[in-house]
Amino acid sequence: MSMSITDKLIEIAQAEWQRWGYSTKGLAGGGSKIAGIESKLPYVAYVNDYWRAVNQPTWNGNTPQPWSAAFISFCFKQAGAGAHFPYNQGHAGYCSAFIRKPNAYPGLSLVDPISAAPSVGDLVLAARSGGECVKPPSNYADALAKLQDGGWFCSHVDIVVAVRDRQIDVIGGNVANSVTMSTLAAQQDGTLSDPRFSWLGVIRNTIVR
Amino acid sequence: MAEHITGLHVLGRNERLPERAPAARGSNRHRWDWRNGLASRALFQRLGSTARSGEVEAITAARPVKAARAKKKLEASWNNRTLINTFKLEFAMPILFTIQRNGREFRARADGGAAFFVGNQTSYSDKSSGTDFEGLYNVPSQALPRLLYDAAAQRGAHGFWADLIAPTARCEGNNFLTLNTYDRARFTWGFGQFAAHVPDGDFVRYFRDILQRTEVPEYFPNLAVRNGRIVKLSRDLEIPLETASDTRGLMDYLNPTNSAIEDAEVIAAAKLIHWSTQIPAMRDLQVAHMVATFRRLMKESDSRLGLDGRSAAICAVVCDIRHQGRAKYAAMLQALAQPDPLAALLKLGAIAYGTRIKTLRRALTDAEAIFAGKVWNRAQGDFK
Repeated sequence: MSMSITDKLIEIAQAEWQRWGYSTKGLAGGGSKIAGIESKLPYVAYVNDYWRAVNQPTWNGNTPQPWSAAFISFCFKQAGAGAHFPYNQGHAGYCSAFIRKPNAYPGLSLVDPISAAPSVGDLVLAARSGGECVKPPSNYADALAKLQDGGWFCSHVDIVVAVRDRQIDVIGGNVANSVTMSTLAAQQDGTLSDPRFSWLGVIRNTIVR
Repeated sequence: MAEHITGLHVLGRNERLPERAPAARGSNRHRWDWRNGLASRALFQRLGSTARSGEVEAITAARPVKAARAKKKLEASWNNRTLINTFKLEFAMPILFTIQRNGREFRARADGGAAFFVGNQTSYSDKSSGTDFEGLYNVPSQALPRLLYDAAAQRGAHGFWADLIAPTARCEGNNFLTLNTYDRARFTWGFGQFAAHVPDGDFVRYFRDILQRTEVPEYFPNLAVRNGRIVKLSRDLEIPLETASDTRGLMDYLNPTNSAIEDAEVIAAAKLIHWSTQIPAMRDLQVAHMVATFRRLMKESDSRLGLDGRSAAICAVVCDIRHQGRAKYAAMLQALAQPDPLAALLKLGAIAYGTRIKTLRRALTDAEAIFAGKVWNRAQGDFK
């Protein structure tokens, strides 16, 4: 009998969050408490665990590559997603893969964050900027077009682990150099409204194993 | 503004693209992964030997390009050099702000666009310290766009808190673009009048969050948040602008002195005005921070004044007093013990701040129907 991987995915993400010492980031204006840091022992090796999930066994918390997509890939691999997730070291890489090959990855889809409320087990995709980043898309339509074209841009993805009234808890890697649980603001209807980020999509996760 | 980069880098005979860039190229700054098209600007710049100033040449794979990548334009081999393909990159570029001054009025242009109002020159003397201040203010002015706080539009995101902050927002002018750089805070911004002089205060928290947004390279490319603090990026240095006890660096960055209006001050103001006008999420972020500030004020005030079960109107006045700093807890405790605590609270600071209190009273009257029946619930940390 096939089963959703959601419960296992949440379990894995929370176990990693625990392993890093429960780093947290609150709502806008709230505080943050960061525990384990990527460049310190033993966390530097934990990042290596994530890189191994995308075949980069020599990279770790002291190598400069952003590791948030490696963290997502690690969690899905540990949760037993098997061949249903296109493991990749960039968020745009795996998003592009499941968008361009929907038959190969039927359990993943990108939906518009303006109308789609994230559920536990889904992923939330936001644009990211930086000195070495190309200009990211500013909305869902632009992001989808770019990903359909196999394009790449800097982004960040977190795993939704809890949904409450106007709040969503997510766990992600490479957030403040840690594995961090962030609380995001949502509208009353559950859609993302946190103005700290430019939301590009909700990745619906219905993968079964 | 965007910098468009289209180009081609042809590998030389002895030049090889790295699979694992940092180790192979001897520098951690040069990240590149041909499989994902991940590429750093620094590497482009280093390899793009024929690039002109402001441009770089783009490179992709040094390996045979698969048919699946046919969308990318393939270039033919040339002598003994390696086949590569090309693509277009677009980097965000800082917006160029220029200042226009006409008498006491300051305007700015963004990338040569239409001039927009920033503020008027003003000065005042602080009698208690004997200090003379000079700076900008921009309300009330017909020249400032009416980007006003609307509680109804924010209820979906913040519930009743959107209404609780509304009376204070009205007292502060209600405009998202409100600016004042002429007092000891040196830079005060927004409808919540977030002030830059308070360590870990509302402005500092707000500013940290806007530095996370994707438009930062266009507005404040030399600022970033590191380990939770705002820093200025200067070559390879990260200069802290604020600590848990001091924001002088941040104030200096935004407004170097209180004795004159400097270009840096006008430009910083113009950037925030332009950014908040162009991007609605910037205005939502102000609201989120004002709500966060009021949540904090409610929690602190409840622990000192015992507000459990008190009406939302009383709580709104307490928060306004705390936000403006016009009375101390002892005075508020006395007011709360009166037969009509709301009226007593509204009398605090009435001589010095009569106009504000009149506005506050009017806002509370207008919101009567929304505030009716709402009381603070300590256990829930919310109104019910």
